Amino acid sequence: MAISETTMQGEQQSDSTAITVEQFRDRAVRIEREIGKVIVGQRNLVHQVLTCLFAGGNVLLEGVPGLGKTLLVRTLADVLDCDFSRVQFTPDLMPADIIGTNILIEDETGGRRFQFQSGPVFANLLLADEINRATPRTQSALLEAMQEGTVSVARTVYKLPQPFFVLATQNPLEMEGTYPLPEAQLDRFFFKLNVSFPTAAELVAISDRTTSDTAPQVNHIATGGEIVAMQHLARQTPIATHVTSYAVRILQATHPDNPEAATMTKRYVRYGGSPRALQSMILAGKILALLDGRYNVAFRDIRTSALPALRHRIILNFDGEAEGISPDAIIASVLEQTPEEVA
Amino acid sequence: MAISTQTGDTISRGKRWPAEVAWALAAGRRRVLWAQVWNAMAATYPVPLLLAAGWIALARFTLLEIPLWPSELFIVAWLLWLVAWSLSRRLGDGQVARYLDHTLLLDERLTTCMELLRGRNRGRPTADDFLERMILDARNTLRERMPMLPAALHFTLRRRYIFAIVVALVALAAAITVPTPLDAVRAERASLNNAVSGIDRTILALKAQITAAPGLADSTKQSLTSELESLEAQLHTPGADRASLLAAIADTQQKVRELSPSQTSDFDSLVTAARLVQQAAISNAEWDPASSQAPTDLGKAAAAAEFLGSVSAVLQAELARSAASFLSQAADFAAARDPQLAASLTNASGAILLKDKQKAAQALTDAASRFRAAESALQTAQTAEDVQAKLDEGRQGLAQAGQQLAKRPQIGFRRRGSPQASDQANSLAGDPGNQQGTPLAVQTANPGGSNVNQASGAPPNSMGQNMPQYSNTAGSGQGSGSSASNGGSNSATGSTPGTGSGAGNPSGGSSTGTGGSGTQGKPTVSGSSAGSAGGGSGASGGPSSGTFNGAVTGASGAVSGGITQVQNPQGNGLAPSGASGQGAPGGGEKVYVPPPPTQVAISGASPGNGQAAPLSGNADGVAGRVGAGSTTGGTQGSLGAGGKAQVRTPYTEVIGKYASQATDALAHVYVPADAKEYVKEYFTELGK
Repeated sequence: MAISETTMQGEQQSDSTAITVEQFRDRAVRIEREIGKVIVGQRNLVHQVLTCLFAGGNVLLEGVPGLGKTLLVRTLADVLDCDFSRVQFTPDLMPADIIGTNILIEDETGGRRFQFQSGPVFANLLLADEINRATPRTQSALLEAMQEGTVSVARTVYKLPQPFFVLATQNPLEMEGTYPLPEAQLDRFFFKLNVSFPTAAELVAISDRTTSDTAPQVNHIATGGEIVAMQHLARQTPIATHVTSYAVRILQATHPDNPEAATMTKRYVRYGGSPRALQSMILAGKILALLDGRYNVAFRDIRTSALPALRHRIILNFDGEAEGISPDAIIASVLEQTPEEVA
Repeated sequence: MAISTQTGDTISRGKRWPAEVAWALAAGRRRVLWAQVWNAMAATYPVPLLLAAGWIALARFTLLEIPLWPSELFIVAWLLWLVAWSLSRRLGDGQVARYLDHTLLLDERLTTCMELLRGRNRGRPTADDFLERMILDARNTLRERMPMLPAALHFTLRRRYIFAIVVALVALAAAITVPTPLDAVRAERASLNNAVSGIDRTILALKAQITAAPGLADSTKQSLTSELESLEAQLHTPGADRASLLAAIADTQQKVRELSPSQTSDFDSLVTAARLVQQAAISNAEWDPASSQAPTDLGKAAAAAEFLGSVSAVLQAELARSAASFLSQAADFAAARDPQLAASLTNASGAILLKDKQKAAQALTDAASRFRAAESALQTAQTAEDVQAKLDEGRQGLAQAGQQLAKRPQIGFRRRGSPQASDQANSLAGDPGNQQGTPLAVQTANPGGSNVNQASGAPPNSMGQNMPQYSNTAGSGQGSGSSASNGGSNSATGSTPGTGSGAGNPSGGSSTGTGGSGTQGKPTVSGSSAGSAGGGSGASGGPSSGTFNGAVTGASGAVSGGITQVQNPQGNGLAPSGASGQGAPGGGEKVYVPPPPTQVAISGASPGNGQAAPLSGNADGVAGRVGAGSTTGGTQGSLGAGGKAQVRTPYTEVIGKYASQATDALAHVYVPADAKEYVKEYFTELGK
């Protein structure tokens, strides 16, 4: 059986061109600023979402309703001038509702044939809203798309447009009738970002912006091709050997069976981060270095990226669950107990 | 893009480090090296300290014979190691770059650049343009932040290092300063070693003396030398303690005694006889004593006898009678010691009177040979006594070596108890170290008895003697007594000069006073008496006989000075037959130190049958042994009344010595284990 690989006609193709570090930083700053026109506060969140975007990863946003998760994604789509799709995950949502399906059509000659009708996944930015409300079967429909950037339907592999960026949201409060994401699914997310509640000043600004007659308008700052170019540049950023070793030691310290495991890891963790976590830390470190105007990854970049890259990949044991230990506390302990290699 | 300033080593890709980077690397290298040396110092400094502390503790708190000075070697070795380690350090550029990145907050710019330039980065190849921008960025950042580089000798101590160093210093200080009772033990050991060395020298001198002694038989010389060499070997036996050393010396003394069963004092009568024979030859035949090469009176007497034998035939009648008289007197003196000699002298006397030339010559020749034999025996006895005396000095030195150090905790002891007990503690104690079977003896005045200064004598020693022994320390005392007896005898002996006074009324008896034959004793006996009170020091006094009327001063009273005790010769607390006396208690110090055996010579004593003073109550007096011997001069006298001794020396000054002597005695005399414990507890209680 031959598996054909095709690209959906009409879908936007990346036309990346080489850019410099200065251009990268400039463009990122402009994107961030443009998003800031709509999103009040949440600068760190926006920064991390952009990091994910430039790294070519996917983001899981977790926060209570009303914090602007969906608005952030929509604004990002507007700023990037990319295709945007939104899927509201519900228990009755089927995989075909996401990736599309073959339908029988009749051509001009009267013949009938199956034609693939693409789903909302064929977009540059996909918002999977409340992803944990769908069944695992539906959730797993995104696995291939998130990891491989392809969709397989009836022995045909369809490449997704580049850049492809999934932003999933989930509500941590309403757990009834939800289906927690399986570990395999979670591991596909580059970052898991916690959306924090706005400060009082930010709430005032939000109320001002959202209750007036005028809505803020954003401009297109970058195209999909430019984003792909930025992704290429980010991957060229060098990282020193001992910095890589530092990231590896951090990852090892999240595994309770490892000799270098941190104290809290040994006590509360059942399983630590996967190799994807290491990739996420290093790749995010490269993005952070470029965003900081540097040409190389520093220790602090790894430290900064460790929290969002690891928090959804650490599985607590019974003690950790019972005592209400958060993965963030464990990661903080790991960072504290993992020294940097200095002369 | 070209790098404006290019210098330093070529790295790769044809690029060189900027001058700033090269300079910064050099500066950073020095700082890293110093920092590493400093960290190594701080981290390892406690090690030599702890090792030194351990060594010192081992040397001070154990009895291992290890010196203290090697503890300093740990510090020296550590310094040498540090220098060698510092010199062997090789710092790579990467290590220095990491240091600069960390210190100057370069965010790993320098390290990453270095890895890229040297092709060590495992990432994808970086474009030249990207690399050049990196180098420029690194150089610019480095130039900007170089002022942040700390001084070359900027050191900081981590808290754990400080803690470790403090702990090590405290351990070292504790090892040095914490007092340990083993210091006293160690000092005592050193004193013992010194004492043993002194004995070694004494033995060496004795061996030379024995070898050079003229009249000593070769077999005797060999035996004495053999015993001394045996002792020398025992003194150097590894692990020998004080008790075993003392036992060895005592054993040698005993063997030396057995080699010479006689004492020099046994020859006193013969010496007197020899002098009389010489007098006979000098006064009657004009014999010149210088013509004889003999060193002793006995040898000269032999020569004199031979001379008399040769001239007896030509002696005039008057001179012959005079010579016969001298010879007869000499025979009287010799009778007790050598009846054969006495017989020869008697025969010679008779033959001279009878003008029997041949018989006189024969008798005088026999007498001469007897004198020579006696001279040889006397020399043997003198040598043996000399050996014993010197060994005894060494033994006492060994017994007392380091005792003050070892017994330091006992200083200031004050025994609880009754005055009697106090008196008892101040009383005499037998010498436990003389190996003569003398137990710890206590002598106090017996208030209820009739003895003056009742002494509990030591049991007969191995020589069959039961001699009182006295202290060498000065003291004073006073006593008086009266007796009306015949045949009473009083004697005094001592080793240090002293004075004393006493009063008594002996009558009808003979009193033989013998001044201390000790080398230093000088009891004073004064008073009016028909007899003669022995006095003086050193040699025995002359015999005296007659009625003793009036006061006798110092006879049985106090003796001040070294002699702290005056007593009857047998040490039995006996009053001689027919004598009764009453004396005030002596006030002298009652510290007991045994004199050499040769210094103890009591003469003129008529041993009587006595009875021991009863021991009652708190044992103010410990009964002496019943003396053996014949009673001379009549019935047994009544016992005199005594008073309690007045002690003037604090017992705390002597209790340590008593305890050590008791301990030594326990080591050499068979004492049941429970009794040993009892004695130990006794002195322990005294020390509390």
